[in-house]
Amino acid sequence: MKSPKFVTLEEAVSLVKDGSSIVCPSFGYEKVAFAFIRELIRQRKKDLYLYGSGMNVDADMLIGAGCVSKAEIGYIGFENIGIAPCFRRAVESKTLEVEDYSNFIMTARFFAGDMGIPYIPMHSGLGSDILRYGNPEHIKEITCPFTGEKLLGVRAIHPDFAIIHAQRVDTEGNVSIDGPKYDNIEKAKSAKTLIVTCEEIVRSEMVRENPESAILPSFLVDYVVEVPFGAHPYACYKYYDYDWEHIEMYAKMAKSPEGFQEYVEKYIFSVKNNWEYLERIGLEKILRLRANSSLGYSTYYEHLERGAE
Amino acid sequence: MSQQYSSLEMMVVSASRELKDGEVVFVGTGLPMLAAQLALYTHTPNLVIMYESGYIGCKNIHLPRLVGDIRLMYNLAMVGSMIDVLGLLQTGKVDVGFLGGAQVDMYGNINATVIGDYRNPKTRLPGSGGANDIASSANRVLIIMNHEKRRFPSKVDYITSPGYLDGSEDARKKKGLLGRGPAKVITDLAVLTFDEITHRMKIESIHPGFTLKDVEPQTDFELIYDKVSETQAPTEEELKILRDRVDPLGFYLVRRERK
Repeated sequence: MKSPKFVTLEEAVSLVKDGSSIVCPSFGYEKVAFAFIRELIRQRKKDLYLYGSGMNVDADMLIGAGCVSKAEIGYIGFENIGIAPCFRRAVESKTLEVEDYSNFIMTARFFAGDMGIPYIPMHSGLGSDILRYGNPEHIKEITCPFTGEKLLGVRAIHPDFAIIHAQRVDTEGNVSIDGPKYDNIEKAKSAKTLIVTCEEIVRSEMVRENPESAILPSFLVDYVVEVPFGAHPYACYKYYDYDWEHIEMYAKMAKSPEGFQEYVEKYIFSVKNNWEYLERIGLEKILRLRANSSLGYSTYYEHLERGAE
Repeated sequence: MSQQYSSLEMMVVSASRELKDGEVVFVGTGLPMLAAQLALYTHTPNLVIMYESGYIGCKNIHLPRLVGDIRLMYNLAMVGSMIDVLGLLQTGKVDVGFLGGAQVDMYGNINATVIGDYRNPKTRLPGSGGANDIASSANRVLIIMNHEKRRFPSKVDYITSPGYLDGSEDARKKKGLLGRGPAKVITDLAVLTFDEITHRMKIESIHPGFTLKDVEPQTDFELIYDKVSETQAPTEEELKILRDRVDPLGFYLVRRERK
Protein backbone atom coordinates (compact mmCIF):
# COMPACT_ATOMS: atom_id res chain seq x y z
CA MET A 1 0.00 0.00 0.00
CA LYS A 2 1.17 3.45 -0.91
CA SER A 3 1.27 5.85 2.01
CA PRO A 4 1.76 9.61 2.04
CA LYS A 5 4.89 11.50 2.98
CA PHE A 6 4.64 14.01 5.79
CA VAL A 7 6.56 17.10 4.68
CA THR A 8 6.99 20.81 5.43
CA LEU A 9 5.03 23.45 3.56
CA GLU A 10 8.20 24.65 1.82
CA GLU A 11 9.02 21.11 0.67
CA ALA A 12 5.49 20.49 -0.62
CA VAL A 13 5.41 23.75 -2.57
CA SER A 14 8.82 23.08 -4.10
CA LEU A 15 7.30 20.01 -5.81
CA VAL A 16 5.19 22.30 -7.97
CA LYS A 17 7.41 23.22 -10.89
CA ASP A 18 6.83 26.26 -13.11
CA GLY A 19 4.31 25.41 -15.83
CA SER A 20 2.42 22.83 -13.71
CA SER A 21 -1.36 22.67 -13.73
CA ILE A 22 -3.00 23.00 -10.32
CA VAL A 23 -6.39 22.99 -8.65
CA CYS A 24 -6.74 24.44 -5.18
CA PRO A 25 -10.40 24.17 -4.14
CA SER A 26 -11.59 27.58 -3.21
CA PHE A 27 -15.28 27.60 -2.48
CA GLY A 28 -17.05 29.39 0.33
CA TYR A 29 -14.05 31.16 1.86
CA GLU A 30 -13.56 27.94 3.82
CA LYS A 31 -11.06 25.03 3.99
CA VAL A 32 -8.75 26.50 1.35
CA ALA A 33 -5.02 25.74 1.45
CA PHE A 34 -4.23 29.45 1.65
CA ALA A 35 -0.83 29.05 3.33
CA PHE A 36 0.13 26.88 0.36
CA ILE A 37 -1.02 29.66 -2.02
CA ARG A 38 1.10 32.20 -0.15
CA GLU A 39 4.12 29.87 -0.34
CA LEU A 40 3.59 29.42 -4.10
CA ILE A 41 3.81 33.21 -4.36
CA ARG A 42 6.80 33.36 -2.00
CA GLN A 43 8.65 30.81 -4.15
CA ARG A 44 7.74 32.96 -7.19
CA LYS A 45 6.17 30.20 -9.29
CA LYS A 46 5.57 31.06 -12.92
CA ASP A 47 3.33 29.99 -15.75
CA LEU A 48 0.94 27.91 -13.66
CA TYR A 49 -2.21 26.58 -15.33
CA LEU A 50 -5.03 27.16 -12.87
CA TYR A 51 -8.17 25.01 -12.81
CA GLY A 52 -11.14 25.80 -10.57
CA SER A 53 -14.87 26.21 -10.18
CA GLY A 54 -15.81 29.13 -7.91
CA MET A 55 -12.64 30.96 -6.83
CA ASN A 56 -12.08 34.08 -4.79
CA VAL A 57 -9.25 35.95 -3.06
CA ASP A 58 -6.75 33.09 -3.33
CA ALA A 59 -6.96 32.93 -7.15
CA ASP A 60 -6.84 36.73 -7.37
CA MET A 61 -3.65 36.79 -5.31
CA LEU A 62 -1.93 34.08 -7.38
CA ILE A 63 -2.86 35.94 -10.57
CA GLY A 64 -1.79 39.32 -9.17
CA ALA A 65 1.59 37.88 -8.20
CA GLY A 66 2.14 36.79 -11.80
CA CYS A 67 2.13 33.04 -11.03
CA VAL A 68 -0.64 32.10 -13.49
CA SER A 69 -0.68 32.37 -17.28
CA LYS A 70 -3.80 30.35 -18.12
CA ALA A 71 -6.99 29.51 -16.23
CA GLU A 72 -10.12 27.45 -16.77
CA ILE A 73 -12.72 28.75 -14.35
CA GLY A 74 -16.32 28.85 -13.21
CA TYR A 75 -15.90 32.16 -11.40
CA ILE A 76 -13.25 34.45 -9.95
CA GLY A 77 -14.74 37.20 -7.82
CA PHE A 78 -15.39 38.33 -4.26
CA GLU A 79 -19.19 37.82 -4.21
CA ASN A 80 -20.64 40.66 -2.12
CA ILE A 81 -17.41 42.66 -2.17
CA GLY A 82 -17.37 42.67 -5.98
CA ILE A 83 -14.89 42.21 -8.80
CA ALA A 84 -11.54 40.44 -8.22
CA PRO A 85 -9.18 43.32 -9.11
CA CYS A 86 -6.00 41.44 -10.12
CA PHE A 87 -8.00 38.95 -12.20
CA ARG A 88 -9.76 41.86 -13.89
CA ARG A 89 -6.49 43.66 -14.71
CA ALA A 90 -4.83 40.47 -15.96
CA VAL A 91 -7.68 39.64 -18.35
CA GLU A 92 -8.10 43.21 -19.57
CA SER A 93 -4.34 43.55 -20.22
CA LYS A 94 -4.28 40.05 -21.78
CA THR A 95 -1.58 38.71 -19.47
CA LEU A 96 -3.98 35.95 -18.44
CA GLU A 97 -5.78 33.65 -20.85
CA VAL A 98 -9.15 32.42 -19.58
CA GLU A 99 -11.65 29.77 -20.56
CA ASP A 100 -15.04 30.52 -19.00
CA TYR A 101 -17.32 27.73 -17.87
CA SER A 102 -19.91 27.44 -15.07
CA ASN A 103 -19.29 26.02 -11.62
CA PHE A 104 -21.31 22.90 -12.44
CA ILE A 105 -19.45 22.39 -15.73
CA MET A 106 -16.11 22.59 -13.91
CA THR A 107 -17.30 20.37 -11.05
CA ALA A 108 -18.57 17.82 -13.58
CA ARG A 109 -15.23 17.91 -15.40
CA PHE A 110 -13.40 17.11 -12.16
CA PHE A 111 -16.01 14.42 -11.47
CA ALA A 112 -15.30 12.85 -14.87
CA GLY A 113 -11.59 12.94 -14.04
CA ASP A 114 -12.26 11.42 -10.64
CA MET A 115 -14.32 8.56 -12.14
CA GLY A 116 -11.80 7.73 -14.84
CA ILE A 117 -14.14 8.54 -17.73
CA PRO A 118 -13.30 10.90 -20.61
CA TYR A 119 -16.33 13.21 -20.35
CA ILE A 120 -19.75 13.72 -18.79
CA PRO A 121 -22.99 14.82 -20.48
CA MET A 122 -25.04 17.55 -18.82
CA HIS A 123 -27.71 20.21 -19.38
CA SER A 124 -25.79 23.38 -18.44
CA GLY A 125 -24.16 25.79 -20.88
CA LEU A 126 -26.51 25.12 -23.82
CA GLY A 127 -27.66 28.19 -25.75
CA SER A 128 -25.28 30.45 -23.82
CA ASP A 129 -22.02 32.19 -24.71
CA ILE A 130 -20.21 29.74 -22.45
CA LEU A 131 -20.75 27.21 -25.24
CA ARG A 132 -20.17 29.75 -28.00
CA TYR A 133 -16.77 30.90 -26.71
CA GLY A 134 -15.76 27.71 -24.87
CA ASN A 135 -12.83 25.65 -26.11
CA PRO A 136 -14.28 22.88 -28.34
CA GLU A 137 -11.53 20.61 -27.01
CA HIS A 138 -13.15 20.96 -23.57
CA ILE A 139 -16.90 21.37 -24.10
CA LYS A 140 -19.11 20.63 -27.05
CA GLU A 141 -22.72 20.03 -27.91
CA ILE A 142 -23.49 16.33 -28.23
CA THR A 143 -26.53 14.17 -28.94
CA CYS A 144 -27.56 11.49 -26.45
CA PRO A 145 -27.09 8.06 -28.10
CA PHE A 146 -30.15 6.75 -26.23
CA THR A 147 -32.74 9.55 -26.29
CA GLY A 148 -31.47 11.80 -29.08
CA GLU A 149 -31.65 14.89 -26.84
CA LYS A 150 -29.17 17.75 -27.05
CA LEU A 151 -26.60 17.78 -24.26
CA LEU A 152 -23.33 19.43 -23.38
CA GLY A 153 -20.38 17.05 -23.26
CA VAL A 154 -17.72 18.28 -20.83
CA ARG A 155 -14.24 16.83 -20.82
CA ALA A 156 -12.44 15.31 -17.84
CA ILE A 157 -9.66 17.28 -16.12
CA HIS A 158 -6.51 15.72 -14.64
CA PRO A 159 -4.47 18.51 -13.01
CA ASP A 160 -0.84 17.83 -12.13
CA PHE A 161 -1.56 18.84 -8.54
CA ALA A 162 -4.60 19.20 -6.30
CA ILE A 163 -4.03 20.95 -3.01
CA ILE A 164 -6.81 20.73 -0.45
CA HIS A 165 -7.12 21.82 3.18
CA ALA A 166 -8.71 19.62 5.85
CA GLN A 167 -9.34 19.91 9.56
CA ARG A 168 -7.31 16.76 10.19
CA VAL A 169 -5.25 13.99 8.65
CA ASP A 170 -4.39 10.93 10.72
CA THR A 171 -0.93 9.45 11.10
CA GLU A 172 -1.73 6.92 8.35
CA GLY A 173 -2.72 9.73 5.97
CA ASN A 174 -6.52 9.36 5.99
CA VAL A 175 -8.20 12.74 5.47
CA SER A 176 -11.12 13.79 7.70
CA ILE A 177 -13.17 16.97 7.58
CA ASP A 178 -16.05 18.83 9.25
CA GLY A 179 -18.63 20.80 7.28
CA PRO A 180 -19.20 21.12 3.54
CA LYS A 181 -17.32 19.04 0.99
CA TYR A 182 -18.06 21.39 -1.96
CA ASP A 183 -16.33 19.75 -4.95
CA ASN A 184 -13.10 19.17 -3.05
CA ILE A 185 -13.26 15.36 -3.28
CA GLU A 186 -13.76 15.38 -7.06
CA LYS A 187 -10.89 17.82 -7.45
CA ALA A 188 -8.61 15.83 -5.15
CA LYS A 189 -9.28 12.52 -6.90
CA SER A 190 -8.91 13.93 -10.43
CA ALA A 191 -5.32 15.08 -9.86
CA LYS A 192 -2.10 13.23 -10.61
CA THR A 193 -0.56 14.30 -7.28
CA LEU A 194 -2.59 15.13 -4.17
CA ILE A 195 -1.23 17.39 -1.44
CA VAL A 196 -3.29 17.85 1.74
CA THR A 197 -2.65 20.63 4.22
CA CYS A 198 -4.38 20.31 7.58
CA GLU A 199 -5.00 22.00 10.89
CA GLU A 200 -3.70 19.00 12.81
CA ILE A 201 -2.31 15.52 12.44
CA VAL A 202 -4.28 13.19 14.71
CA ARG A 203 -4.04 9.64 15.98
CA SER A 204 -5.55 7.16 13.55
CA GLU A 205 -8.11 5.91 16.12
CA MET A 206 -9.83 9.31 15.96
CA VAL A 207 -10.60 8.99 12.25
CA ARG A 208 -11.49 5.32 12.63
CA GLU A 209 -14.07 6.20 15.29
CA ASN A 210 -15.78 8.59 12.82
CA PRO A 211 -15.20 7.10 9.37
CA GLU A 212 -18.18 9.09 7.99
CA SER A 213 -16.08 12.26 8.33
CA ALA A 214 -13.27 10.78 6.24
CA ILE A 215 -13.26 12.02 2.64
CA LEU A 216 -10.10 10.44 1.22
CA PRO A 217 -8.25 7.24 2.14
CA SER A 218 -4.51 7.40 2.74
CA PHE A 219 -3.53 5.59 -0.47
CA LEU A 220 -4.88 8.51 -2.55
CA VAL A 221 -2.81 11.07 -0.64
CA ASP A 222 0.75 11.81 -1.75
CA TYR A 223 1.87 14.52 0.68
CA VAL A 224 0.58 15.83 4.01
CA VAL A 225 1.50 19.16 5.58
CA GLU A 226 0.41 20.33 9.03
CA VAL A 227 -0.37 24.08 8.91
CA PRO A 228 -2.43 25.45 11.82
CA PHE A 229 -4.60 28.39 10.72
CA GLY A 230 -3.54 27.40 7.20
CA ALA A 231 -6.79 28.65 5.62
CA HIS A 232 -6.57 32.20 7.00
CA PRO A 233 -7.98 34.70 5.91
CA TYR A 234 -10.64 32.11 5.10
CA ALA A 235 -12.49 29.97 7.60
CA CYS A 236 -12.06 26.42 8.77
CA TYR A 237 -15.39 25.16 10.12
CA LYS A 238 -15.41 24.43 13.87
CA TYR A 239 -11.83 25.79 14.11
CA TYR A 240 -11.97 29.46 13.09
CA ASP A 241 -13.99 31.95 11.06
CA TYR A 242 -13.06 33.97 8.01
CA ASP A 243 -11.22 37.25 8.64
CA TRP A 244 -13.63 39.54 6.84
CA GLU A 245 -11.72 42.68 7.74
CA HIS A 246 -8.54 41.23 6.24
CA ILE A 247 -10.41 40.16 3.08
CA GLU A 248 -11.91 43.65 2.71
CA MET A 249 -8.50 45.19 3.29
CA TYR A 250 -7.03 42.98 0.56
CA ALA A 251 -9.89 43.87 -1.81
CA LYS A 252 -9.24 47.55 -1.22
CA MET A 253 -5.44 47.35 -1.55
CA ALA A 254 -5.53 45.13 -4.65
CA LYS A 255 -7.54 47.77 -6.53
CA SER A 256 -4.23 49.30 -7.60
CA PRO A 257 -1.09 47.37 -8.68
CA GLU A 258 0.89 49.39 -6.12
CA GLY A 259 -1.52 48.52 -3.33
CA PHE A 260 -1.33 44.85 -4.31
CA GLN A 261 2.49 44.97 -4.20
CA GLU A 262 2.31 46.56 -0.77
CA TYR A 263 0.01 43.76 0.41
CA VAL A 264 2.15 40.87 -0.85
CA GLU A 265 5.30 42.55 0.45
CA LYS A 266 3.83 42.90 3.92
CA TYR A 267 2.03 39.56 4.23
CA ILE A 268 4.06 37.23 2.00
CA PHE A 269 7.54 38.34 0.93
CA SER A 270 8.64 39.98 4.17
CA VAL A 271 7.57 37.01 6.32
CA LYS A 272 9.52 33.76 6.36
CA ASN A 273 6.67 31.33 6.83
CA ASN A 274 3.09 30.91 8.03
CA TRP A 275 4.07 31.44 11.68
CA GLU A 276 5.47 34.88 10.92
CA TYR A 277 2.40 35.57 8.78
CA LEU A 278 0.16 34.76 11.75
CA GLU A 279 2.24 37.09 13.92
CA ARG A 280 1.47 39.85 11.41
CA ILE A 281 -2.24 39.08 11.74
CA GLY A 282 -1.85 39.34 15.49
CA LEU A 283 -2.81 37.31 18.50
CA GLU A 284 -5.98 39.27 19.27
CA LYS A 285 -7.46 38.76 15.79
CA ILE A 286 -6.53 35.08 15.77
CA LEU A 287 -8.27 34.54 19.10
CA ARG A 288 -11.32 36.55 18.08
CA LEU A 289 -11.73 34.38 14.98
CA ARG A 290 -11.74 31.14 16.98
CA ALA A 291 -14.98 29.25 16.40
CA ASN A 292 -17.63 29.37 19.09
CA SER A 293 -18.10 25.70 19.85
CA SER A 294 -21.92 25.93 19.89
CA LEU A 295 -22.00 27.52 16.41
CA GLY A 296 -18.91 26.32 14.54
CA TYR A 297 -17.99 29.91 13.64
CA SER A 298 -16.96 33.04 15.53
CA THR A 299 -19.42 35.46 17.13
CA TYR A 300 -16.95 38.33 16.60
CA TYR A 301 -18.95 39.82 13.71
CA GLU A 302 -22.29 39.65 15.48
CA HIS A 303 -20.96 42.09 18.09
CA LEU A 304 -20.06 44.81 15.63
CA GLU A 305 -22.25 47.90 15.40
CA ARG A 306 -24.80 48.24 12.60
CA GLY A 307 -22.99 49.41 9.47
CA ALA A 308 -19.71 49.63 11.37
CA GLU A 309 -17.49 47.78 8.92
CA MET B 1 -49.36 55.61 8.40
CA SER B 2 -46.51 56.18 6.04
CA GLN B 3 -43.37 54.23 6.74
CA GLN B 4 -39.92 55.34 5.56
CA TYR B 5 -38.00 52.74 3.57
CA SER B 6 -35.13 52.70 1.09
CA SER B 7 -35.36 51.64 -2.56
CA LEU B 8 -33.10 48.72 -1.68
CA GLU B 9 -35.56 47.59 0.99
CA MET B 10 -38.43 47.95 -1.49
CA MET B 11 -36.54 45.76 -3.97
CA VAL B 12 -35.73 43.04 -1.42
CA VAL B 13 -39.27 42.99 -0.03
CA SER B 14 -40.92 42.74 -3.44
CA ALA B 15 -38.47 40.00 -4.47
CA SER B 16 -39.22 38.00 -1.33
CA ARG B 17 -42.96 38.12 -2.12
CA GLU B 18 -42.35 36.19 -5.35
CA LEU B 19 -41.49 33.07 -3.37
CA LYS B 20 -44.29 30.72 -2.36
CA ASP B 21 -44.50 28.61 0.76
CA GLY B 22 -43.15 25.09 0.39
CA GLU B 23 -41.10 25.86 -2.69
CA VAL B 24 -37.52 24.71 -3.18
CA VAL B 25 -35.39 27.72 -4.08
CA PHE B 26 -31.81 27.68 -5.33
CA VAL B 27 -30.30 30.98 -4.27
CA GLY B 28 -27.43 32.87 -5.94
CA THR B 29 -25.11 35.31 -4.21
CA GLY B 30 -25.99 38.85 -3.13
CA LEU B 31 -29.47 40.28 -2.70
CA PRO B 32 -31.26 36.99 -3.51
CA MET B 33 -29.84 35.68 -0.21
CA LEU B 34 -31.43 38.54 1.66
CA ALA B 35 -34.80 38.19 -0.09
CA ALA B 36 -34.97 34.42 0.49
CA GLN B 37 -34.12 34.87 4.16
CA LEU B 38 -36.86 37.51 4.53
CA ALA B 39 -39.42 35.24 2.85
CA LEU B 40 -38.53 32.44 5.27
CA TYR B 41 -39.27 34.70 8.25
CA THR B 42 -42.48 36.17 6.80
CA HIS B 43 -44.84 34.33 4.44
CA THR B 44 -42.90 31.15 3.50
CA PRO B 45 -41.92 29.33 6.72
CA ASN B 46 -41.63 26.08 4.75
CA LEU B 47 -39.38 27.44 2.02
CA VAL B 48 -36.45 25.11 1.30
CA ILE B 49 -33.40 27.30 0.69
CA MET B 50 -30.48 25.76 -1.20
CA TYR B 51 -27.07 27.11 -2.11
CA GLU B 52 -24.59 25.72 -4.64
CA SER B 53 -22.09 25.19 -1.84
CA GLY B 54 -24.20 22.17 -0.84
CA TYR B 55 -26.41 23.65 1.85
CA ILE B 56 -30.03 22.42 1.77
CA GLY B 57 -32.88 23.55 4.04
CA CYS B 58 -31.14 26.56 5.58
CA LYS B 59 -32.60 28.01 8.78
CA ASN B 60 -29.47 29.86 9.86
CA ILE B 61 -29.61 32.47 12.61
CA HIS B 62 -26.83 34.73 11.33
CA LEU B 63 -26.82 36.30 7.88
CA PRO B 64 -24.43 34.71 5.36
CA ARG B 65 -22.09 37.05 3.48
CA LEU B 66 -21.50 34.59 0.64
CA VAL B 67 -23.15 31.43 -0.66
CA GLY B 68 -20.57 29.21 1.03
CA ASP B 69 -20.71 30.92 4.43
CA ILE B 70 -20.26 28.46 7.33
CA ARG B 71 -23.02 30.40 9.15
CA LEU B 72 -25.32 28.27 6.97
CA MET B 73 -24.13 25.08 8.71
CA TYR B 74 -26.04 26.07 11.86
CA ASN B 75 -29.56 24.59 12.16
CA LEU B 76 -29.23 23.06 8.67
CA ALA B 77 -31.29 20.16 7.28
CA MET B 78 -28.51 18.70 5.16
CA VAL B 79 -25.14 19.54 3.68
CA GLY B 80 -24.42 17.82 0.37
CA SER B 81 -21.68 18.26 -2.19
CA MET B 82 -21.79 20.56 -5.21
CA ILE B 83 -22.54 17.55 -7.42
CA ASP B 84 -25.55 16.78 -5.18
CA VAL B 85 -27.15 20.20 -5.34
CA LEU B 86 -26.20 21.31 -8.86
CA GLY B 87 -27.26 17.88 -10.12
CA LEU B 88 -30.65 18.31 -8.43
CA LEU B 89 -31.32 21.28 -10.72
CA GLN B 90 -31.32 18.91 -13.70
CA THR B 91 -33.95 16.63 -12.15
CA GLY B 92 -36.66 19.31 -12.22
CA LYS B 93 -37.06 19.23 -8.43
CA VAL B 94 -35.91 22.82 -7.92
CA ASP B 95 -38.91 25.16 -8.24
CA VAL B 96 -37.12 28.50 -8.34
CA GLY B 97 -33.69 29.82 -9.23
CA PHE B 98 -32.96 33.23 -7.75
CA LEU B 99 -30.20 35.33 -9.36
CA GLY B 100 -28.52 38.69 -9.60
CA GLY B 101 -26.16 39.78 -12.38
CA ALA B 102 -24.54 42.77 -14.06
CA GLN B 103 -26.84 43.09 -17.09
CA VAL B 104 -30.20 41.71 -18.18
CA ASP B 105 -31.66 42.19 -21.65
CA MET B 106 -35.18 42.38 -23.08
CA TYR B 107 -35.39 38.57 -23.27
CA GLY B 108 -34.10 37.98 -19.75
CA ASN B 109 -30.61 36.84 -20.75
CA ILE B 110 -28.13 37.64 -17.97
CA ASN B 111 -24.53 38.77 -18.29
CA ALA B 112 -22.08 38.35 -15.41
CA THR B 113 -18.92 37.79 -17.45
CA VAL B 114 -17.73 40.87 -19.43
CA ILE B 115 -18.74 44.38 -20.36
CA GLY B 116 -17.75 44.94 -24.00
CA ASP B 117 -16.31 42.37 -26.39
CA TYR B 118 -15.54 39.00 -24.79
CA ARG B 119 -12.15 38.77 -26.52
CA ASN B 120 -11.28 42.37 -25.73
CA PRO B 121 -13.32 43.34 -22.67
CA LYS B 122 -13.81 46.81 -21.30
CA THR B 123 -14.57 45.35 -17.89
CA ARG B 124 -13.91 41.78 -16.87
CA LEU B 125 -16.53 40.55 -14.35
CA PRO B 126 -16.34 37.39 -12.19
CA GLY B 127 -18.17 35.01 -14.57
CA SER B 128 -20.97 32.50 -14.21
CA GLY B 129 -20.35 30.70 -10.96
CA GLY B 130 -23.48 28.59 -10.56
CA ALA B 131 -25.69 31.16 -12.33
CA ASN B 132 -25.67 29.51 -15.76
CA ASP B 133 -26.57 26.17 -14.17
CA ILE B 134 -29.42 27.72 -12.17
CA ALA B 135 -30.79 29.72 -15.14
CA SER B 136 -30.52 26.70 -17.46
CA SER B 137 -32.33 24.17 -15.31
CA ALA B 138 -34.39 25.63 -12.42
CA ASN B 139 -38.13 25.41 -13.20
CA ARG B 140 -38.55 29.20 -13.03
CA VAL B 141 -36.06 31.99 -12.52
CA LEU B 142 -36.29 35.24 -10.57
CA ILE B 143 -33.79 38.01 -11.26
CA ILE B 144 -33.03 40.88 -8.90
CA MET B 145 -31.06 43.84 -10.21
CA ASN B 146 -30.70 47.61 -9.84
CA HIS B 147 -32.62 49.42 -12.55
CA GLU B 148 -30.03 51.39 -14.52
CA LYS B 149 -29.78 51.97 -18.26
CA ARG B 150 -26.34 50.32 -18.53
CA ARG B 151 -27.71 47.24 -16.76
CA PHE B 152 -30.76 46.98 -19.05
CA PRO B 153 -29.38 46.87 -22.63
CA SER B 154 -31.48 45.52 -25.51
CA LYS B 155 -28.88 42.79 -25.95
CA VAL B 156 -26.36 41.71 -23.32
CA ASP B 157 -22.67 41.75 -24.22
CA TYR B 158 -22.32 38.08 -23.26
CA ILE B 159 -25.00 35.53 -22.38
CA THR B 160 -23.68 34.04 -19.14
CA SER B 161 -27.09 32.69 -18.12
CA PRO B 162 -29.76 31.98 -20.73
CA GLY B 163 -33.14 33.70 -20.59
CA TYR B 164 -35.40 33.39 -23.63
CA LEU B 165 -32.31 33.77 -25.89
CA ASP B 166 -33.53 35.50 -29.09
CA GLY B 167 -37.15 35.39 -27.91
CA SER B 168 -38.28 33.06 -30.71
CA GLU B 169 -40.82 30.33 -30.09
CA ASP B 170 -39.41 27.41 -28.04
CA ALA B 171 -35.89 28.91 -28.26
CA ARG B 172 -34.93 27.38 -24.91
CA LYS B 173 -36.38 23.98 -25.68
CA LYS B 174 -34.69 23.86 -29.08
CA LYS B 175 -31.31 24.47 -27.45
CA GLY B 176 -31.92 21.64 -24.99
CA LEU B 177 -32.55 23.77 -21.90
CA LEU B 178 -34.70 22.20 -19.18
CA GLY B 179 -36.13 25.11 -17.17
CA ARG B 180 -38.97 27.36 -18.31
CA GLY B 181 -36.81 30.49 -18.07
CA PRO B 182 -37.09 33.82 -16.27
CA ALA B 183 -40.44 34.61 -14.66
CA LYS B 184 -39.78 38.00 -13.06
CA VAL B 185 -37.18 40.74 -12.84
CA ILE B 186 -37.38 42.70 -9.60
CA THR B 187 -35.62 46.08 -9.55
CA ASP B 188 -35.47 49.10 -7.28
CA LEU B 189 -38.08 50.75 -9.54
CA ALA B 190 -40.45 48.03 -10.68
CA VAL B 191 -41.50 44.41 -10.95
CA LEU B 192 -41.19 43.15 -14.52
CA THR B 193 -42.37 39.97 -16.17
CA PHE B 194 -42.18 38.49 -19.68
CA ASP B 195 -44.83 38.36 -22.40
CA GLU B 196 -45.99 34.77 -22.90
CA ILE B 197 -45.78 34.93 -26.69
CA THR B 198 -42.99 37.37 -27.57
CA HIS B 199 -40.97 36.70 -24.37
CA ARG B 200 -40.22 40.40 -24.15
CA MET B 201 -39.81 42.11 -20.82
CA LYS B 202 -43.03 43.70 -19.65
CA ILE B 203 -43.88 45.97 -16.72
CA GLU B 204 -46.10 44.37 -14.10
CA SER B 205 -46.00 47.00 -11.38
CA ILE B 206 -44.05 50.14 -10.51
CA HIS B 207 -42.94 50.84 -6.95
CA PRO B 208 -44.68 53.64 -5.02
CA GLY B 209 -43.25 57.08 -5.75
CA PHE B 210 -42.13 56.17 -9.28
CA THR B 211 -43.85 56.31 -12.68
CA LEU B 212 -43.21 55.16 -16.24
CA LYS B 213 -41.22 58.38 -16.66
CA ASP B 214 -38.68 57.04 -14.14
CA VAL B 215 -38.56 53.47 -15.44
CA GLU B 216 -38.32 54.07 -19.19
CA PRO B 217 -35.18 56.27 -19.22
CA GLN B 218 -33.41 53.64 -17.11
CA THR B 219 -34.12 50.91 -19.67
CA ASP B 220 -32.21 50.76 -22.96
CA PHE B 221 -35.04 49.04 -24.84
CA GLU B 222 -38.75 49.53 -25.21
CA LEU B 223 -40.62 48.04 -22.28
CA ILE B 224 -44.06 46.72 -23.07
CA TYR B 225 -47.03 46.99 -20.69
CA ASP B 226 -50.79 46.86 -20.71
CA LYS B 227 -52.07 47.50 -17.23
CA VAL B 228 -49.44 48.83 -14.84
CA SER B 229 -50.26 48.65 -11.17
CA GLU B 230 -48.48 50.06 -8.14
CA THR B 231 -46.34 47.63 -6.14
CA GLN B 232 -47.57 47.27 -2.58
CA ALA B 233 -45.21 49.22 -0.32
CA PRO B 234 -43.28 47.23 2.30
CA THR B 235 -45.36 46.63 5.41
CA GLU B 236 -44.16 47.62 8.85
CA GLU B 237 -43.77 43.95 9.68
CA GLU B 238 -41.67 43.22 6.59
CA LEU B 239 -39.37 46.15 7.33
CA LYS B 240 -39.02 45.25 10.98
CA ILE B 241 -38.08 41.65 10.21
CA LEU B 242 -35.72 42.70 7.42
CA ARG B 243 -33.88 45.23 9.57
CA ASP B 244 -33.93 43.58 12.98
CA ARG B 245 -33.79 39.89 12.17
CA VAL B 246 -32.45 39.34 8.65
CA ASP B 247 -29.72 41.97 8.47
CA PRO B 248 -29.28 43.53 11.92
CA LEU B 249 -25.67 44.53 11.15
CA GLY B 250 -26.72 46.33 7.96
CA PHE B 251 -24.23 44.24 6.00
CA TYR B 252 -26.34 44.55 2.85
CA LEU B 253 -28.88 47.22 3.78
CA VAL B 254 -26.52 49.89 5.08
CA ARG B 255 -23.36 49.22 3.04
CA ARG B 256 -25.09 48.96 -0.33
CA GLU B 257 -27.18 52.01 0.40
CA ARG B 258 -24.14 54.19 0.85
CA LYS B 259 -23.01 53.82 -2.77
